Amino acid sequence: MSATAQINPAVEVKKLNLWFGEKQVLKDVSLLVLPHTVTALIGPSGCGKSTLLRSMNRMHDLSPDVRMEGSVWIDGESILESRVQVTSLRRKVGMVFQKPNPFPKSIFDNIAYGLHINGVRKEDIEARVISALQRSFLWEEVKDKLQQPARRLSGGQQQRLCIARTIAVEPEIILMDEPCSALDPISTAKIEELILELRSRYTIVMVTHNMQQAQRVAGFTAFMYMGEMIEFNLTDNIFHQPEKELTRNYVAGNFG
Amino acid sequence: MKEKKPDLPLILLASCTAIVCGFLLFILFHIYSQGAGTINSRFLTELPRNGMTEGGILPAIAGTILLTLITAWFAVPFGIAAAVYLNEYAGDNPSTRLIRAAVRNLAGVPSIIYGLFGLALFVQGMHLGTSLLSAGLTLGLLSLPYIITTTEEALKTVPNSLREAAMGLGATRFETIRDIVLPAAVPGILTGVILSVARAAGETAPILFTGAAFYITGLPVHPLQEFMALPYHLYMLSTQHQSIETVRPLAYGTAVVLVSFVFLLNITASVLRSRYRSQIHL
Repeated sequence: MSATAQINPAVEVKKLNLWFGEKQVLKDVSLLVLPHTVTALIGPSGCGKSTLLRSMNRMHDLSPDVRMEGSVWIDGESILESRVQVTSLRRKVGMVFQKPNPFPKSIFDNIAYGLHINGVRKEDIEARVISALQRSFLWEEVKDKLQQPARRLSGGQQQRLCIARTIAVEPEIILMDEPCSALDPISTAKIEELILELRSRYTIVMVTHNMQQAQRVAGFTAFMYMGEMIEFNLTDNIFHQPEKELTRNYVAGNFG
Repeated sequence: MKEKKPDLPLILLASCTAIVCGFLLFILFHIYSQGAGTINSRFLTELPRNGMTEGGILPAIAGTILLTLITAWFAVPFGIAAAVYLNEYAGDNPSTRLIRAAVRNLAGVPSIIYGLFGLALFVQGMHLGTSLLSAGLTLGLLSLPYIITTTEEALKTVPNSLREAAMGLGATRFETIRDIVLPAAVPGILTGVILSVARAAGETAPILFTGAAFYITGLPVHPLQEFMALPYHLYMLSTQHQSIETVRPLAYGTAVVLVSFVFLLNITASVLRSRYRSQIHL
């Protein structure tokens, strides 16, 4: 054993290959996500970063003609295998999407829904809704209008509601697919602050187009290009001492 | 300043619209002006008398209402279930495309064919006789393709991001459909259902051989009874009656009641839709 303690990874992607029909979108991608860290996936559009993210909670199950080889391990379980129960996997691996997508329900019910389908007892639901709203820094803004439609909130508030909805079911890992790309700078700053706060309790993997954002919130950064994992390291290293020429050019903004 | 040229395409399009609306208004005006004099509370609540030359049309009103209920009771669950299957479960492959094409073609089958089919299947094959039930089931078949198509359209308007959000929380596909997709699609489904059923309520041909009767002195009380219905009554008063001239006002009165019934259903559809929409926070 080495001197450093052995840490079990939260997510381990091993040689993942993925095809949409004939088109190969991921090529031999490997990635190791440590618990209680924020890992950013960066790279130009179409490089496969969202596809990689969505393989971690089996969102690809919804699209026809997807084929995968390789494995993704979460909690010592190879989750791509068909015997894995997707619903309990997704309870453990929550997801926040690019565009805020609150349900057409009230603010309260948006959060209560996930609790309800996951079998939380009725008398516990209210306390957990409130706690999720507080931990998403949304409570002060909505506490007087919990019964109002969620869609009347601003875009930034809606996205924090979606985060609240996700953390309410207490996942271990939260996947975020460009969570700020539809938001203004002030809302973005609030979400980034929230992500840093959530790090202590959850493992976060986020796709981002915004390289400043990766540097502000992520401890680790993975750079992908044309379906391949080019470089994965501490965020500081990726941005200041990249090992690969391609990475250097990308973070310098030479292409995108 | 140059004088503005008249906008020819606009004028053309607007006048086409005006002509269409004009015909509608003219038909309505004609029916209501001819029939309004006949409409009174006795016309609506009494049984026909004297070989239908006097009295009211209560049996026909009751028959049409019951018939519509049977139609809806049969076609709505089947139609919605089929649409949910096609849109949410069945993938896009040759066999579902074939099913969709079949459904669309079914909507184009002339209604008299449904009548013959209902006669063969329900009246004779299933021994239901000429009855409310046979006629209701036949009209149900007639409205199924419309209900399936409009429900599918309504389900398509529910953004995929909502399905992903629910499944991302650990909802099963069925929970997602039951709790998120269907509630969001209800306004569209409701409109489609009511319009289809209202259309069926005005049909004559499919009930001609399956249960509508010429003249019944009592009210329908049993689903295996023959019945009077507004569209058939109207057809009969205006073409088959022995003294057509005498009963003409009654025919117009029946037309007013039938048109009003269909209007009422359509208005109900839009009221329900807007009420539900504000309720579910779309």
